[in-house]
Amino acid sequence: MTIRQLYYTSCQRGKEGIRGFQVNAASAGLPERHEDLGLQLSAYRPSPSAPVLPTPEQIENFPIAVGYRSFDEVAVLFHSRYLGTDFTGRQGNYFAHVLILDAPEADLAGMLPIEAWESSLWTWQPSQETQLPLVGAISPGPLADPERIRAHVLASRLPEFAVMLSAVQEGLSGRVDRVVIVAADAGDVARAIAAITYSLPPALARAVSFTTFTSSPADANVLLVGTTPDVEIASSPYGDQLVVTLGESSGGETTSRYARALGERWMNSVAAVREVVTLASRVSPPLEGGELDQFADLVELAVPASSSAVPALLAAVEFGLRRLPSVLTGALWQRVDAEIRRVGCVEDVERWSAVFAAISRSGATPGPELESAYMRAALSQIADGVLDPASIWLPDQASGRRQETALDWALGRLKASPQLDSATRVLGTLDRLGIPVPDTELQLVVDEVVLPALLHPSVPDAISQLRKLPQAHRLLLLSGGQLESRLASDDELFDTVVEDLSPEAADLLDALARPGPRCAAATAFARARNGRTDRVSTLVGTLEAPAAPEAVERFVGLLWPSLPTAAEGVRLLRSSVDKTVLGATTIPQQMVERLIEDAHAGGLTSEHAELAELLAIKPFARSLANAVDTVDSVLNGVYFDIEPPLPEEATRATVETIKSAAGADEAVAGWALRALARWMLSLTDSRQHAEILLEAVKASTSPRFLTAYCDQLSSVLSSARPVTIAAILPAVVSFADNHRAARQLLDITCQKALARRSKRDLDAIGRSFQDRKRKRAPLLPTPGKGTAKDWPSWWKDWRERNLPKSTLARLLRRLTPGGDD
Amino acid sequence: VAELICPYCFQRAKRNKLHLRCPEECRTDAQYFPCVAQKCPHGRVPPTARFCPHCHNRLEYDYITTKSSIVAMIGSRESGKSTYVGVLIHELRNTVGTAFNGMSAELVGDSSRDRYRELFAGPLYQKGETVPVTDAIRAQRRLEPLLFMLRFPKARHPIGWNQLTAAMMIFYDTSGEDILKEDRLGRLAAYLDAAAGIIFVLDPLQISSVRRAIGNAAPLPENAPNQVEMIQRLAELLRERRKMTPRQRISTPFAVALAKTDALSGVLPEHSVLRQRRMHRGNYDDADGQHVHDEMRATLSSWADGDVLLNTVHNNFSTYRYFGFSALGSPPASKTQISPSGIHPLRVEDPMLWLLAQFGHIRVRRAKR
Repeated sequence: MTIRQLYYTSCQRGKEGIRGFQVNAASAGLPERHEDLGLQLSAYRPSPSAPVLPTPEQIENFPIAVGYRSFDEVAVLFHSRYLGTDFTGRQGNYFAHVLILDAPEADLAGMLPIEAWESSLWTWQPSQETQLPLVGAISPGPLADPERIRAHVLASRLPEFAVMLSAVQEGLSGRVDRVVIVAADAGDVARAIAAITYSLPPALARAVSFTTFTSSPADANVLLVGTTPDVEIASSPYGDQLVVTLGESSGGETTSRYARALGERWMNSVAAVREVVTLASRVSPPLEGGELDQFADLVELAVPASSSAVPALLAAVEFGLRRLPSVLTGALWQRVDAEIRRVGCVEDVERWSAVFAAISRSGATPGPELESAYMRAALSQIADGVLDPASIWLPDQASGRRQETALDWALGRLKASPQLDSATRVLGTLDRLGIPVPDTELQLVVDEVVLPALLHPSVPDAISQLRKLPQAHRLLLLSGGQLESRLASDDELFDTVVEDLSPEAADLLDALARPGPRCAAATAFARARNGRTDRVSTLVGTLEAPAAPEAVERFVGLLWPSLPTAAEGVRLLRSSVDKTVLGATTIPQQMVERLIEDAHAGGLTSEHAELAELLAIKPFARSLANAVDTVDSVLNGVYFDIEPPLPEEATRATVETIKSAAGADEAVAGWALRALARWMLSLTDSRQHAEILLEAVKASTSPRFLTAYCDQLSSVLSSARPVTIAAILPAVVSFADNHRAARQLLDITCQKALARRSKRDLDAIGRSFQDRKRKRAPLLPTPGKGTAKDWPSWWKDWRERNLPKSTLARLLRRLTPGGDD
Repeated sequence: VAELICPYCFQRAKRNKLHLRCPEECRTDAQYFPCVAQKCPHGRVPPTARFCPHCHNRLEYDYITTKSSIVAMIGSRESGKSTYVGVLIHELRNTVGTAFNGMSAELVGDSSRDRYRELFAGPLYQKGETVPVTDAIRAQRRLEPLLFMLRFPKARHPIGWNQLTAAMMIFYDTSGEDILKEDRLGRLAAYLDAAAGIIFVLDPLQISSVRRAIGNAAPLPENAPNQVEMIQRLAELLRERRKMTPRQRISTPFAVALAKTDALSGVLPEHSVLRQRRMHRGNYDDADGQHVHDEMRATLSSWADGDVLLNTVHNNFSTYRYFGFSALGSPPASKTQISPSGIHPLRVEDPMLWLLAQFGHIRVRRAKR
């Protein structure tokens, strides 16, 4: 610990033996390189506006430069002031008193370098001797009194203090090279530097190099550079130089957390500042400039009086844990809890996990709020698959808090997101952590997730997910019980359940939920409704005797979301259910609708005929009202289609069919009339055909029959054997002859259909007219109206007049669907 | 200009090896990088300003693109170097240019302009005060250059008169203390070695016989240093830097300029050429220069140690010439005040014009023999 000193000025006698600027005197053993360090720092040039020939009084007011900078080997503390003229009488002389501290910390003996401002140590008188004694101790000046500094800071200088301290932090972090403080009075600069360095832990304070005045800030190799307003400061566009003009701070500048914290402490008291600085000096390894903001957060946690928000809570706790573990007391954890309450949650679970692991190793106990918030965050990340529970710290398995927090988290999450995948994650997380879930908590899952998923699945594979749900069996048992209970208390719920329940869900309930009777009925209905089981059997098995028509109606409505099929209708009408009860329902009407629908769809079969027969019996026919004709039409159609009538019944049956068709559904009537027409066209007796055709037309009150007949005639003439055609044409000719309105049957329908036939077919038809020509002779057109004497002649003549002669024309007609329609 | 010498660190650098600096957007991450790169390391287009690759001082565009010559100026303390620099630049800018077809002398860069205004023009021409004492390089850390560019139309150019010739001159004002001792002069070694020409300002008032001859007519410095030793020290330093043998002469043009001729009224002959102003006519008048040179040699030879000085210069420098000038035109009223009659310099530009002629920047009108 040695403090050497030197004087530098322009003098006649000095250590260097020259005249002019030289080291006037120096302590023994001061190396030249250390001299150079001091001289370069302490060089003084007056500011541009300083008088070139100042009076002694003006020289007194020249700014004094006190500066400090620590180098690798030594630190330099200096005091420079302008002297005016030198021994030659020329202006430009100054006196630098430089101290070289080879052990700065010990040499300063706890004082801050800036406390040397106005120290009685400094001199500006050249020495007569070239050797100076060592300096025993540096006597502090007035800035050693922190109350003086506080008074300075509180005199409206708090904003600029925060700005400067923030800038110094940037400088200590290497992001800023220079902070220029502009003030007319170098004393103000010194006080500002004192406030800044007093606010830093001693080690960092000693790292802050400064000078209270220079007229060329760009050349000053120190962090804090004082200068006067007349000095032109070269701007740096790179942000590596900050300029603070004292008295001009608006308070709107961005300041660091540490600077704000220290500003508050200065407001409070010197002791408050000292408390922070003392805490900072305890940090091990010592604080670096870039860590002050982290430390500021720790300060807010560690200092009991503080109530400021701690934006980087985790960083502060980590910092404390790593660098100042003694500060992590119960009071600090209470403060952390308060901050957690304010913020609501923790982030970065892995880092908090490391914190908790370290805390648990040290035996300390963090606050319950923090632990709970951490648990919740950790559980959320485990549930989301972000974290592996094995990789993070969690409270001991035996800890009651662990289970309590986990269940609370689970319920909260399920309430917030009552979705199947959310429940899967939550229950899976609890499962992985071995946290048992009581029935009461599971009931929430049932109510919020499982039952909605069963009844109203929002995703296609909901049932599959339900099967894979952790604790699925327990959940479904609870669901079954819950559903049974609800069905018991709400009778209308049954219908809803049956309608909503998918067969898969019903299977799942049946398989795992041990359903009660109502629930079992609902699942059975749901399966039957969806076609998985026989609806009729389900209905019959469910209905109790005697069944009320309303119940039958309701159950049929549930089981058959659309009309029962004809086969189901037959089975239903033949079932053990009381016919009277069935007749009192809308089921017969539904069956008629089934007939109509199927008739529209394409055709009726023997099943429909059977159904129609059943519907025609009394209990049902009574409830059919106007639909009776439809049922009769079906029966008649079937009659002509399947069981052709005897010749003696043919005319009556035909008339009945036509009459019933008049009141029947259009599609059913059409079907029945087509069956009638087909039967008529199949008759080999042309005379019977002609008679029945005529009767049919007479009985018709609408063109429905003729239309159906025309369709069938066209179809038959296009494809039937020539002999059949030869049987049909006389009936048609006769009908056309006796019924003018039906003339088009021969002129259009027959002509078009036969025009497509081959010459060979037409020839064959002609030959077929040779048979039975006598029997058919009465059907020839009335004499006088035509020239044919027999059917072969008629055919020859008709063919000549109506059918194309060339083979090509016939071929074209045949190849063209619909011919020349 | 393929290669240049940085006027701050005196290191040589090829023009295509100069550095650029990141644009403002890079903020505190800004870096220096070779100028061959199109973009900075952060991918941004850099400004065009060039920087020395060694010391990262900014090099002005004119400096990079113009052939430059460093002129070193040394002399003992109080010999009047700073005053000489201040007046010389003023004369080059305001008076001499007219005689050289409208030559202009412009300070280059804000740094030079500010420095000249603050240290020289302000005190001398605005306040009528002497230039303050110059601090030693030891405290200054580095020499601050004064860059000024000379531009003059080319005379008798075959194409026309629009062609310009440009020359960059770099002046350094050093402290007298810095050459008083060998170890101090060593700090100027790089600077002196890089110089294309050297002006040694010889203070006649620091020569004992001259002091005795002029009596108390002007304030005299005490215990004047031995100026011959300074030249010897300079020669030794340059030889050492350039690894020359004692038998070799230094080729750097060396101007020995006797200052303060206004104070030598009793010493110089009545019709001395040093008392006469010389009008330049677009070239360096070598006959006049030779005249001054011869008279100066004769004058110095008559002074104590004069022959020693002449021999020392002759044996150490191959190209040298003697000059005499008065920067202020009359002795200052005091150490801090110049004469109330103002500044009327006499032959202050002669050494500079001789050096410009040596560098080939201006033409020489040879003496008729």
